[in-house]
Amino acid sequence: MALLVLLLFIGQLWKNSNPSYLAYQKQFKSLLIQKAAQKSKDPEFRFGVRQRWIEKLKKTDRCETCHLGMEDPRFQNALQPFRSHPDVGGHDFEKFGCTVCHGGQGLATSRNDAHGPVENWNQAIYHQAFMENSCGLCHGEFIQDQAPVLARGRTAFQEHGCRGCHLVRGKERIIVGPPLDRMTQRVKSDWLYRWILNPKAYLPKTKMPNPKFSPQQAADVAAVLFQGGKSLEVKVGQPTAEGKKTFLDSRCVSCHSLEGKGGILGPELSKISSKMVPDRLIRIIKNPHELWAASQMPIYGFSDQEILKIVDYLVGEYIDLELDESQAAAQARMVQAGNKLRGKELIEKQGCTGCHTQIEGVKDRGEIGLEMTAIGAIHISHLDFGRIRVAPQDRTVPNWLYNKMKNSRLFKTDLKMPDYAFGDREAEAVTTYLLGLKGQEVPAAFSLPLGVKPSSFAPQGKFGRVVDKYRCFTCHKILGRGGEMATDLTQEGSRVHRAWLEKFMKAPDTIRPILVERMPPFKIQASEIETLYTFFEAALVDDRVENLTGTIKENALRDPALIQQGKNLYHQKYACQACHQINHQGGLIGPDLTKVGDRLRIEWILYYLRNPKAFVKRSVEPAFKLADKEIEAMAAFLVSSK
Amino acid sequence: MRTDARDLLFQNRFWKSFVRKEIPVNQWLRTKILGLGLINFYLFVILTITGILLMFYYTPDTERAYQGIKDLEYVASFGLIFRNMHRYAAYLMLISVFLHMSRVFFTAEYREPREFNWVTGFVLFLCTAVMAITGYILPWDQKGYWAMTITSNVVTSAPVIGEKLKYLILGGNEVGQNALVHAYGMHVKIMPLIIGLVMGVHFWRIRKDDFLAWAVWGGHLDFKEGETPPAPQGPEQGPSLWQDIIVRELSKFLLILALVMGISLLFNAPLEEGANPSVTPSPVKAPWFLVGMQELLSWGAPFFFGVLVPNVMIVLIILIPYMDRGREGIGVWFHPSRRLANILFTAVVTVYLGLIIVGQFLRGPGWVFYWPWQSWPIH
Amino acid sequence: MTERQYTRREILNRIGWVATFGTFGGLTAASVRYVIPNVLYEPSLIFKIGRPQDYPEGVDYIDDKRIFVIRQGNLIKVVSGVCTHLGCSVQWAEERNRFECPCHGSLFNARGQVTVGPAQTPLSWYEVTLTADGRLLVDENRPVPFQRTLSV
Repeated sequence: MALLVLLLFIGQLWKNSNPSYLAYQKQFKSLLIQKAAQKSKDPEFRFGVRQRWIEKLKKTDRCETCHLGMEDPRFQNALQPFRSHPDVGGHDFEKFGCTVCHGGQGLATSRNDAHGPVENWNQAIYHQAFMENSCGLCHGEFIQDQAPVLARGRTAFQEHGCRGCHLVRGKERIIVGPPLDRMTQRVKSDWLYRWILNPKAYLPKTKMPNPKFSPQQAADVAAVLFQGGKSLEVKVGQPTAEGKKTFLDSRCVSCHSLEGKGGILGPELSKISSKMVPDRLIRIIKNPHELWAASQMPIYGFSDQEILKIVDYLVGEYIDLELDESQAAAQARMVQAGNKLRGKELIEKQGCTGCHTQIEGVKDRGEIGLEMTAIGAIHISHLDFGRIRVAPQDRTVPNWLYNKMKNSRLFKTDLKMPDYAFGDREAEAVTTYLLGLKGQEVPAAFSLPLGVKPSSFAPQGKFGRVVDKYRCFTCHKILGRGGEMATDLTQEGSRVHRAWLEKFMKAPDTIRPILVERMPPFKIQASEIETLYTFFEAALVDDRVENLTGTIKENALRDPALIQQGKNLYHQKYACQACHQINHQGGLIGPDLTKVGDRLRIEWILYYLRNPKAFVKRSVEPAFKLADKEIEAMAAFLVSSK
Repeated sequence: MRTDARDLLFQNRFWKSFVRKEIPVNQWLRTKILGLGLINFYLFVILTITGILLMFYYTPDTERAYQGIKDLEYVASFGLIFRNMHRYAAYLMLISVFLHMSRVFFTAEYREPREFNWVTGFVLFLCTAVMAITGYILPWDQKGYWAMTITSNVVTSAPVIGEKLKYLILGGNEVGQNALVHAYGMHVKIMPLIIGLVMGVHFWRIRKDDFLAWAVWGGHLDFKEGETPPAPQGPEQGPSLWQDIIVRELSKFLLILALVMGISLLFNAPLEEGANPSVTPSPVKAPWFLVGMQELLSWGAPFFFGVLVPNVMIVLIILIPYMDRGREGIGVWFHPSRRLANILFTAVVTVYLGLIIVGQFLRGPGWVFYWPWQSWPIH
Repeated sequence: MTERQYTRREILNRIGWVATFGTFGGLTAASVRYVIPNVLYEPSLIFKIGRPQDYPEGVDYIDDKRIFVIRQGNLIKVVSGVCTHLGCSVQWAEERNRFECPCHGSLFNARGQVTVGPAQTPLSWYEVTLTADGRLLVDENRPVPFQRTLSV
């Protein structure tokens, strides 16, 4: 009897003396001895559990018990678990521990329990693809290049309008789609039907997801939307060469694409006549903001005649070649006969108001989707895998989210979330962003918002009106707000001459030969140019440039010796012609420098040569560190070209 | 030599003080009753010692309790083993206390003069149950948390004082820090004291009542007032045989220890996720010894099933010896004269066991009935 | 002398007793080992501070660890900043080249030895080594004599 007990006791001793991490530690110790052998110093090695207790974050991490080479650069090429951790850039292990970024069960000392997924611990270690999600916890909403996957996910979340249906406390609800009132004045009914049935068939890059309606349902919905009075019947003439020229000169392709080539800010135009009624085309070119206040298209200021010519051209040229006329007619009839009541039910049930406003007869029901404020910390038992059989070890929150992003109706048949058809990369990015939404506060000592907050610059008064009319922000950046397609105008007042600006605005020519996009020729009026330049001169200046006024005399600039010196520097010492053109000679990378003295102010040239990257950090221009005399010579040469 | 050593150890007044006169050793050795009572005591000793050890790593704080258990599991040397031993010894004790009670009933040991001891024994049974309930919640994991939620809600169905009782037990309106501290205090300080005292009374009564009726009366049944028990038969008792008793009891202790250790080595004491008030697992079940009650309650009428029936049962059980004043069949298993009583008791026990089985194994999410071969729907 | 035959029973019996007491002894030993903590929820006594180049010539105080890092040329030493009297933090008085305790006036010379004051034992010097990733590792479990330095 007692023997039995003794045996059992020995068994217990054995079990206790043999925790799994001990094997790793012994391995590590021998490796350590190997590595230290070169230094001929006996390394001290302490067996036992290694723990880091992060009191402020309430985390206890015992990862180092096996991951012993974490801080030792000699183990860079070792196998896991001994490999040293890549550079953490200030995220000291002592201050942060491990699990706050990696997830997992820090309390455990055996491999499966620590890494997971394991029963009774909700958070397994994050897969590498989703690792960046924890960055947002301390570094806030605006982190950019330091966590590129997270930034992409956040952008995707915003652009696809997820916030329209899913509540995230602390984020503003922005409706991203166009308003849907008065559809009869905007589009053709058969097009509307085809669009609702499958948006990506018409516009592959659209952000609108596929609501996966059946044809009858699509017709019903189209019937509801296709309301709002009759559109004007417009007689469309034959396309003319004049119309084509006006269209091409206006550089519409800067924003719109034609057969996939061109800009991405506006919709594809190659099938536009199948979509829009001619009246709408006329009105949209005349005043794009009339039917959609948030539209980014500028007001060109064409005359009615010109518009008609353009529209004739568009309607004649850009037709949908694959469209069967009889089919289109049949679809139009389907829409005509659609059941409005059923359609309204569908719209309400599907939650179209999450992205579109102004649907007649349909009230906005707010966020109808699952709340996302703390989706990253949700318990797996709240997520339903539905009809998909999933092995217990794969039942994790990241898995569920990732698969849901790739196919939103995977788990059940009658779900409402439309199909966004994210690819692998996009799904990863969005999942990363969602996993980061943990609804948790971090102690103030840890919080460090990074990244650039969107600017709230909203110009008022006359200047504001001009900017609004021509939608300058679509392409230009001013004081942090705006697009990146064109120059940043924040220092424009210091940069250009008024005379040049006036000329340019009336007929924009090429400044940078290498760019495809061109500034469109708006019919901008003299008073508007005046308003612009007044504002530039008064506000969009930089004192570092202004302070150089008067540092160089007019006559000095005309000194032929200086000009010759500058020419030599330009062509020989610094070989600027490799990137810049003067009189059609030179490279195409930088802006054209022909008669640049008419365009740029001398103060700007002087400051720029001294410090090219002062205003655009990613400027390609090399920082040559020119001497002062050289700068003067170069400046003289540049302004001398006539 | 050998005998002398053992004599030294055992032939002394310490051990002998347990008995008042010469004990009928041979009868004891030939007894057919398994000595369950003393087994309970051994389990209690194991529980106390392992419990004291566990106290070194445990904090009764809602934020630290779960962490303490995890520390035991991963970090403390032998921590896992001691915790397993404590948990399984507790389960074994519940079972063996129950068996002991049944044994006493079936051999009618509760009759005069042992009625009071039956009462103290049953009080000990209730104390064991309380210990089990308070101990269950201490790890502050999902199981314990929700079990406590259910239990405290059952209490509310008592008439008049129900809500106040719940407030008293929890130290508040919700299962939180106060509830944990109350449970810890009860489990570690108050109940062991009470158990110790009542156990003392129980043992004292045993000694006063001359141990086992069987041993005393040797299966002879009728006796008249004033009669002395018949002289013991069989081989003479000698000093050496007393040692044999001690050894035998010691070996029983070791057996129990071995059993507990064996189970602890093979199976880990369950530990679910940390308590999470926003996630209710489905189904949520009371600990196995109470799940019969939960099953009963699922039939409806919380007051009737949750309060009335249990209390009535308790009162009846306590009063058994005072109701049954027979003389026949003391010390004999299943004496024919007690057929009715035996059947009744067995029936009650079977019903309760059945309830436990149904509640534990045949109930799935939403408390829906599932046969063992039917799989539960997981999300 | 007659050889006393040990019966099998006796041997088994003896083994049994040994095993029993062995088990009890073993359990007691296990319990004692159990009670000794393997991890501490406290700041560790072995910790890393900065790189050698972070500490210029002279005496530098690390606030949250209460130690002085003293650099003389290429030699680095670490001394405790806790007064051995009753535990206040001593201050380094550069001009008088000594440590001074503001609580009860104990004075320690540059080697940590007591010159004046209610304190009786000198300040502890701790072992400091260089880790593989180039930082200084202070081990407060290992006091060293004041002459010991680390060359970097």
